Amino acid sequence: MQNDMHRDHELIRKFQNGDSKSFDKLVRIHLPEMIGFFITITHDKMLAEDLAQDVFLKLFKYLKNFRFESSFKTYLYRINLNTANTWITRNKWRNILGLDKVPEPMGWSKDVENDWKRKELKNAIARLPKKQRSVVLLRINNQFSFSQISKIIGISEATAKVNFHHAKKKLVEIINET
Amino acid sequence: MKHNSEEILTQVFVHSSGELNTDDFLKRLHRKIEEKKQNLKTINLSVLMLVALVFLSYTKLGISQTPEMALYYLDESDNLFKTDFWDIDVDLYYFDLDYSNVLTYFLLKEGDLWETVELFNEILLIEEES
Repeated sequence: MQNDMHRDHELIRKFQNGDSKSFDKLVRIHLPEMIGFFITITHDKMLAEDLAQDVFLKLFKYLKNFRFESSFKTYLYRINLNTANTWITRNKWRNILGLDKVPEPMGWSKDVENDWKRKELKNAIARLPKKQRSVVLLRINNQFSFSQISKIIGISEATAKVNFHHAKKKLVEIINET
Repeated sequence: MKHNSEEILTQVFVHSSGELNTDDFLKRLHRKIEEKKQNLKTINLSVLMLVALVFLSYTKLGISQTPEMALYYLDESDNLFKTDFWDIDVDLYYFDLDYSNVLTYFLLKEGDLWETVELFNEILLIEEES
């Protein structure tokens, strides 16, 4: 963990000194996890890649001012979360209008059932308050500890736990209902 | 129970990202970065051109900046068209001999002989003073 942080900081320092290859290395290291994060939210690989592109475009601009006060991963996930929240808010209307609804399945199988539940869960997560949604995304998707989540979102550990508890209760209810 | 419900959520929610072509992703990313740089350059250039155009319009196309400057220009053009010798700013033909010559010729052509003599006297007087 500490080694990862040092490696990231070293690459950022090189990038700040004009070595653009270091930025590519940073992308290669963090891309799979980031894509995984966005796929979980969008359920669409192309869309996830587009969101990841947006994040790295922002990083290319702002990384020159990175001050090494926190780990790069925390910084990265803060941007990921903001991007995801913006995307979810933008797509809320699609969910409300039912444009994204899964068609009624013809034959029932385990995969279809999971897919159905995923979509329902995605809609339910979109309806959660922003703070609860952020905690859930980081906890379920990336298995972050509450201490890490509190650093990323900028809230106390206790608040993160309480938010997660409320959100989880709502989501489990939805899963059991469907 | 606590961990169990979390596991259920994770199982339902998280699914594999599949195969990922990082090289292709990087290629697209760099293309976008270049496009963004180009757009920024275009915007900067447009703003610069706009500023230059506004500046040139304001200073060179006859828009005077202060009332004093407007009066100055007005005075100058008045001087050029005035035929009354006494109203004309003396400094003008002191510094510009050609102008005095043209004015003398003009007065003679108009038949204002006495005005012409007065003009010569004035020029002589200025020369003596200086």
